[in-house]
Amino acid sequence: MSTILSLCRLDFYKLLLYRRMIAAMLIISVLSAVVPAWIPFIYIVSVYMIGVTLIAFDEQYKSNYLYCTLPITRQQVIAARFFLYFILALGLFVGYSVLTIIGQSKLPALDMQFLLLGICFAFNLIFVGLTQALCFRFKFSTVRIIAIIGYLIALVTMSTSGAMVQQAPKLSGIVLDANQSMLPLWGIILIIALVVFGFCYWLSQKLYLHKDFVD
Amino acid sequence: MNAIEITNLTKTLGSFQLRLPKMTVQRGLITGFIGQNGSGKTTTIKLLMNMLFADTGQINILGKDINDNFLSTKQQIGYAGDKMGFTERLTLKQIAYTISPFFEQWDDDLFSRYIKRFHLDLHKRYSELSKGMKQQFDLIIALAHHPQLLLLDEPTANLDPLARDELLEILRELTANENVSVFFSTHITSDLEKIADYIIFLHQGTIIMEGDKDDLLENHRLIKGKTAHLVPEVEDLFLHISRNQFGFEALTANWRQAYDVLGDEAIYDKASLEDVFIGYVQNQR
Repeated sequence: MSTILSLCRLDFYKLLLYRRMIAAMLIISVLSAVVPAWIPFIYIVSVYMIGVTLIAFDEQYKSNYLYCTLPITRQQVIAARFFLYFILALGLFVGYSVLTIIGQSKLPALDMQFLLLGICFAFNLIFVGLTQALCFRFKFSTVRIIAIIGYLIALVTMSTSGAMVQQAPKLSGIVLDANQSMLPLWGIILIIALVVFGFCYWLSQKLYLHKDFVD
Repeated sequence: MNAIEITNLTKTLGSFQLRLPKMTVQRGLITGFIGQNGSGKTTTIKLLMNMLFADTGQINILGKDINDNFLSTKQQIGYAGDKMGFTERLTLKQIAYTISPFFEQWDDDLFSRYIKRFHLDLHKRYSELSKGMKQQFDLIIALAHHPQLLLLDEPTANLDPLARDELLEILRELTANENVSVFFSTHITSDLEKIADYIIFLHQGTIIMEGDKDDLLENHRLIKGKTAHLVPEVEDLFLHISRNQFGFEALTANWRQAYDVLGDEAIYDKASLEDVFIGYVQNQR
């Protein structure tokens, strides 16, 4: 576990180089409490920025060469990266959930907003996991195009869902009774996300373990 | 026990193939690995570091199969090569801070001593260093965890003469005082002439010659004589012959045998490692 944490620390130091980006994200996040309907959108962007920044750093500085010189296994490299992604997605989910609660008075349907955040959490896990896995097979420039397309799909989905949240009270089938719970739906989303994330982890291991670093 | 033992190793990369039926690096010695660009030096070292995977063959490092004792073996290896993979915008201090936890025997004092010895500034970013300074820092990282084996891929390529001497001095100290084994690839043969104990010549992916450095330099000579002396039985003694208007110049692997035939009719100059290497490469062509 200490190796995994050391690898996460290495990644954390890489991210610190983008202090301005992180500071801007923090300010925007705090301000999002004023317009909480935007929180899912900001959540998606935050994870996208951090995930792609880490992968871009790997590509730019040939981090794989460093990993090969250290007394660590390739399994640990992948495990650390996926652990970081999970913690990142979860940590930001918790943070944005708190901001959602702070700004709940400005939301027409809090349950729907949390459902949306849950979908974003699932999307983020799938998105970073898949992007990372694809980077072990294809060039980063190619994967970046795929990532942008995925990101745009997510944005359209979020915008549509956001509109639904605004309209939720008017849509009879969507507004929930006080006794009804979103938990089953939440559970399904979470399970799907974890299964896909787990698959991406397995795929990354499969692709990375026997990869030759030629350049 | 040898520091490195390679058996039946092959690796194909595009049209290039590395074939090492047998290669050993003895413990406590500095072994020079000489070859032209593209001869397979870096590929061999990458295979030792698991940056590449062999198609066939076995690699033992410090007496253990690298695949069976991966982590413990890696703790004993110091590596410095062309691509280190550091996040270049970090300072030297930050790089050391993020890398040190991985090594059980990381020595902060030793790290600081080497930093002072090479006059590096810990607060500078890696990207701000010159190529030579980067190479010095790479070496410090390789040395700061008390490795038993140093794998150095062209470590002196960008160093100025003073820094190069400093590095060679450090390698001498390590092998003499701490029984560290050094595997040193280069195409700058003059460095190896100063410090190497054993030499391996690599050409087009295969070893064309190896031996004790002193024996190599003792036995090989550049012979200069008149063209008239170049009869077939004399030519057979030479690895490579170049003819000019004044006569011939040839490299022999056994100058005493040549002396028995040519006697005082020829001049017997000591050969440098570079002469020997060029002679063997041209002999292959």
